[in-house]
Amino acid sequence: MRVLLVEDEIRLQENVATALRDGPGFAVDCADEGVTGSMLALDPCYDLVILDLMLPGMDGLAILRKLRARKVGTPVLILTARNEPGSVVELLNAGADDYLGKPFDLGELIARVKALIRRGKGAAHPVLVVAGIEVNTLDQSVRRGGRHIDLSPMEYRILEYLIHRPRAVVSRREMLEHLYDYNWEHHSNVIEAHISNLRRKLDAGCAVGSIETLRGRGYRLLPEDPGAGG
Amino acid sequence: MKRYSLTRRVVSLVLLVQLVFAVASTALVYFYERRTYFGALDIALRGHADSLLGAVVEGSDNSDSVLLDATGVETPANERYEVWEKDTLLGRTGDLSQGDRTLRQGAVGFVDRHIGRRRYRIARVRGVRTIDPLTFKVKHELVVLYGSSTDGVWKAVRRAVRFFALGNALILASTGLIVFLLVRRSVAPLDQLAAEASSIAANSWRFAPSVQARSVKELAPLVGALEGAIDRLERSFGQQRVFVSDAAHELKTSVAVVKSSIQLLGMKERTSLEYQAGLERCQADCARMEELVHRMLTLATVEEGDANGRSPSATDIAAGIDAALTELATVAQLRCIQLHHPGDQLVSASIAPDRWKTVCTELVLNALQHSPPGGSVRVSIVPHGSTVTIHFANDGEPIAPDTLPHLFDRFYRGDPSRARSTGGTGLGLAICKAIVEQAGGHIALQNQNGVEVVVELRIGK
Repeated sequence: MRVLLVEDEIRLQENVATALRDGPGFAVDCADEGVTGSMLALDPCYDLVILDLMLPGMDGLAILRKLRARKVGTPVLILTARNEPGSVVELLNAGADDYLGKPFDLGELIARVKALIRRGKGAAHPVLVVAGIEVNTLDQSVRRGGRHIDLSPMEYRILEYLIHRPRAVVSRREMLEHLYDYNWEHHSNVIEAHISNLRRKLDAGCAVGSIETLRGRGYRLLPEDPGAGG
Repeated sequence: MKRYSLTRRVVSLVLLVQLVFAVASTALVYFYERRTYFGALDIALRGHADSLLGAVVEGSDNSDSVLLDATGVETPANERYEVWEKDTLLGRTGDLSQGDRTLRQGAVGFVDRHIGRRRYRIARVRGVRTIDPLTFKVKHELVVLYGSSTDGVWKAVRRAVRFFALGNALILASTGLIVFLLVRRSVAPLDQLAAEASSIAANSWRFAPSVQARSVKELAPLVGALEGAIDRLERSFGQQRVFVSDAAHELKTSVAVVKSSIQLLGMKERTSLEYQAGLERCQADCARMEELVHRMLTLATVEEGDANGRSPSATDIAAGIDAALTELATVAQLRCIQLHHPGDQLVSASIAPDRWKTVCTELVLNALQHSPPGGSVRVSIVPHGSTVTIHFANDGEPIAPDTLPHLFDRFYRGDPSRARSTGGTGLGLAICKAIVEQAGGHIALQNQNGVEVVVELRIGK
């Protein structure tokens, strides 16, 4: 998953970005002022935007209104030091999906980020099951047919992204955009290797393959079990 | 302090003045009426006495004597008379002289006497009666005493005075009532104004005096003063609220930094080197928070004014600038920025030396932060008349005109170049402005020629 963090306090920005990268393993892009942040936030490659309210150049509320006016539906989590009921109502009415008052708990931030991403992709429950594959987004564990599968962080992130989009064809570029930060082009040749490893680990001992490759188009998680769903 | 009622005072004053007037006019009426009534009485007494004098006729016994023929002389019950020829009483009604010979010996005129329980006014008239008018040989010297009780006169005087006094009392009472009602009515807009003013609170600054209060000319200065004071208070409260809100935001952000730095360390197992680096970062975060709090307190102290009695002194302007430039020389060197001193000028200004040093340090630091590498920061001093102007100029992109008026606002972040990423707390320029204005000076920031930004200070010498 790829998150845009717009925060002008550099030290806080560093800490939140590090927590999101080290914890759930998200790709995080950062902006430290409003105008750049609003331009980046328009890009649909982000699964979540974390916005500070008071920003130089353009404040968080203006960015949020701009996003919603341009029909950008990316979930937005607002970081605010103003917890007055009036401002919270204004934020939610302007299209914010959630807010967190400063000083916040990093664990709570990560949990809210995960929940917002899940809901943004239409899954409310933290345990996602598609094609007999069970992904627990809380402890980042994966099972298939009751068997625990040990995945590397990047393999887990690819599977998590695919399981959020069951039956859909996900292009290599889309995957790169959502799983890596703005340096994604440097990683373009490693996706195939990760997919190959993932497929090998998931399909070991199973008769049916889990990930389908559609030449020239991308990859798809096979929803072969009609009873399963996100 | 003893409280008093304005209504009571005005009513009392008016009643007192009117009472004095009433007493004086009643006294005047008393004297006038007494004079009038007694004047009339005297004329009547004199007339009666003259009639009696005319009633003395020659006796019928050829002895050249005279006698009183009182036929046709009517004497009311409250009047008495005596007609004397020397010591011979020719006639009388009632005893008027009561054996007092002196009464008939005085000159012609009027005498007041008590006879029994009544007071009498007596007219004394003298005349000569001549018997045998051809020879004028026998002359009779006559004295007529004609007295009348003054009870009726006094009664009439008292009645007139009583009537006038009653009239005055009625006027006094109605005036008191009318003045009371008028004062109450006049004071009513003041009560409305007070009620309106008392409804003002920190969360409700609405002050709308009634049309009645506004239409009173005498209340116009009070209404104006109240409106002005409330407006100033509202603005002051608004500024305070914004400052508290901004300060809370900044402090919460600083706490968020420290908290997240500590939580980040505990998120996973780390090496001792990583822990050490993390702790150093936490320490740096705490130092930044400390700096923020210190600057907020500095600003609050400056804005409070010189409550500690510190008075502005003649401070060497160049010395403060030199000290700041020397202090920040290393920073300038690191950023490859040249510092230009103003030169040796002996100019002093009316500002506390430590505060002047703070202003210089803040402005030079600000100029360094916004100068591109390879640029320069120039400070100049221009004394003229009773003031001295100091310029802090640095190379740099011009600042947007709509941003310029806000640069001295506390925590202002509107301009991207003033973002937190520059390392500032957002209070430096606000502190400078507060110090300069406390010293009675003026500070402004402007773009010049599109290539440099200049902070201009003007302070009294």
